Amino acid sequence: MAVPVLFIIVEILAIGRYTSATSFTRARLLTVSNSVTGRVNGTFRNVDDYFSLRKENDMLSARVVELESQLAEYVASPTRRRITSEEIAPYLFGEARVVKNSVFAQHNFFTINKGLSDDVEANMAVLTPEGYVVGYVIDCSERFSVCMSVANRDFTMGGKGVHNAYMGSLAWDGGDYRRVRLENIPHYANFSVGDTIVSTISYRFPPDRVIGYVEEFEPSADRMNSHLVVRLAADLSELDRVLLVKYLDGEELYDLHSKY
Amino acid sequence: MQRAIEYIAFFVVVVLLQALLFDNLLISGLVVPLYYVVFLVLLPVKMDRLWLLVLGIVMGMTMDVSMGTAGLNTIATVAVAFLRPVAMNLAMGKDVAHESIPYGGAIDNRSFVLYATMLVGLHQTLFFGFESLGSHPLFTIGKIILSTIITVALVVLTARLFRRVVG
Repeated sequence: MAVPVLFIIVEILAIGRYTSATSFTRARLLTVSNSVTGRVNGTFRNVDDYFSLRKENDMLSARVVELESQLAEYVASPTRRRITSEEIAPYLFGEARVVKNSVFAQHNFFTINKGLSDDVEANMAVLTPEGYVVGYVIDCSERFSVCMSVANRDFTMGGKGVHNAYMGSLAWDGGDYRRVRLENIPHYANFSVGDTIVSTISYRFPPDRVIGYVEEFEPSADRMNSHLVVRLAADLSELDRVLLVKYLDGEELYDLHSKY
Repeated sequence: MQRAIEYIAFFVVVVLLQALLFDNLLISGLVVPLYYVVFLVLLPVKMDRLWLLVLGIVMGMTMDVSMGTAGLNTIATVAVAFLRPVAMNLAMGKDVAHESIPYGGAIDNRSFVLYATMLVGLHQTLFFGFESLGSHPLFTIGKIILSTIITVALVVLTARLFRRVVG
């Protein structure tokens, strides 16, 4: 008699806990388990390294070329434009490596090998070395941080067309981790397949970072909002080195927004 | 309990395999092996129902912390632990009563595979069913079927090794 009753009680408690859990609760649990498995996962990463050196070197040199040409353009521009340029935004950059990743759950997170002791904090943006959006930091321990992946049903950020200023909100529907939706764009906005979608400025993300490319455009039938299917630029299943971006004015922006 | 030390070691090995190996294998969205259920499948035949349930809770909570799923694994493991005597009865009947472990010498392969499929299938159905909460139903059903097939194969392999080492 006692066993069926205990079974029902535990089942109800577990279902209650699962359905009420937020992404923050889940990230907290991962922070705890990382303190046990984090180091071992890091060791596997070291083995992987030998097999990806060539690919990474190619990517890095392409990136150096790109940044050098941007720098050259910047140095050549008149001082006045440099001062008023949006490019001098108050962002700090750092780097980290992904030690644990998931893409097949409904709430996907990945863990990086930097934490509070490396000045990582919640709400820092996470980009690939190419500058593609992959997620943001949600919880940190001393040496590790758990980040919410773009492929997480609780993930949300602003996105817009690179050629037009129409904005929408980005969300993942829990299906294919390579595709997200840009929702709530005005019904008169015009996009074509292949257009680049970039980030809008927020307290987490720097502006104009590539999110992905338009794969399907469904103009609204009812003159309400339409939506886009966006193929992500970053391959979430192959995360390794990542850039961390802290927006120094992020907290101020957040406080201001949260007043209204 | 007989073989307490062996089972404690088995628990640790299974948890580490799941956390360090299977959780890191990003093969396909359709194949996500929740291998750790093998621990509940292979617990001693004569284990008390209350003990089964307690170990189901312990395993579920351990995996919930490890995967960051807050209750999802426990939903599945508790049901597996509770219904294990029923599955054992359905698949193996009276034959198993004289055995100490579920894959004992007198148990034929077919009965054991049937028993393992029932438990693994129940486990993956509850896990992926609750995880998706009704969205993408066809994808979820495919995921349950393929993951169950792969996990049952892993469970049978483990059971053979287990019989040699422990049985």
